[in-house]
Amino acid sequence: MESAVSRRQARRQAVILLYQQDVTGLPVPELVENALRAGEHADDPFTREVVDGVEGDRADLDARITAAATGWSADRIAPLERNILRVGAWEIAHDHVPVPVAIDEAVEMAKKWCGSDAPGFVNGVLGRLAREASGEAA
Amino acid sequence: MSAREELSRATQRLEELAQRISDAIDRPAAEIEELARQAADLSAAVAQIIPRAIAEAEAGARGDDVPRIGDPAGSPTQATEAAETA
Repeated sequence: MESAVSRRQARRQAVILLYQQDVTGLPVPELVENALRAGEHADDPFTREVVDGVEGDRADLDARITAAATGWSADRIAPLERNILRVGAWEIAHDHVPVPVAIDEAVEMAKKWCGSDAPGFVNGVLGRLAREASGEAA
Repeated sequence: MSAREELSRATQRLEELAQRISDAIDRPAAEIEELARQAADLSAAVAQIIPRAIAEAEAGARGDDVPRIGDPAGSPTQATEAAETA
């Protein structure tokens, strides 16, 4: 099925849904319904793939993020940054998009949405995960 | 009040409610149910504020004088300047 939105928009929506779920504890289907009522493209196939993938791998992703974020466990990272990192880490782990694209997209979201330290932090953590993934593949 | 401020306050209240529910283990069921109802209502409100806060932050990234979600209150342009020079 052809998507009505760009991958960037779909990834943005995925991070918003994961952030909402993380902060409120509400089930993702309910959040998707709310977003659809608000006119968001929350049922895009790419969005669903990212949200389902991150939800399914959350424990492993958090362990990887914690290992890569020196001095910061995933549960101590601010929730918005945490979910940007989860999406980026999932895309890197699953070769979902080229690694530089995964990192760039995550850093851009951090620049637009988060505090001034976030882009560098996200870039550092995902860069480390990408190097580890590259080493594992070698 | 900006969506960012609303989100910050509502998230803090949600955390406080979660703590109160956690601490209310020996309280009457009706009291716990009331706290849970408040938490559910507040969760729904937070979920609705988040997209507005994101849109507000994106407007800031386009050059408007709007703070990011992670910025401390009272320093609305700090992140914008940092992001633009990064």
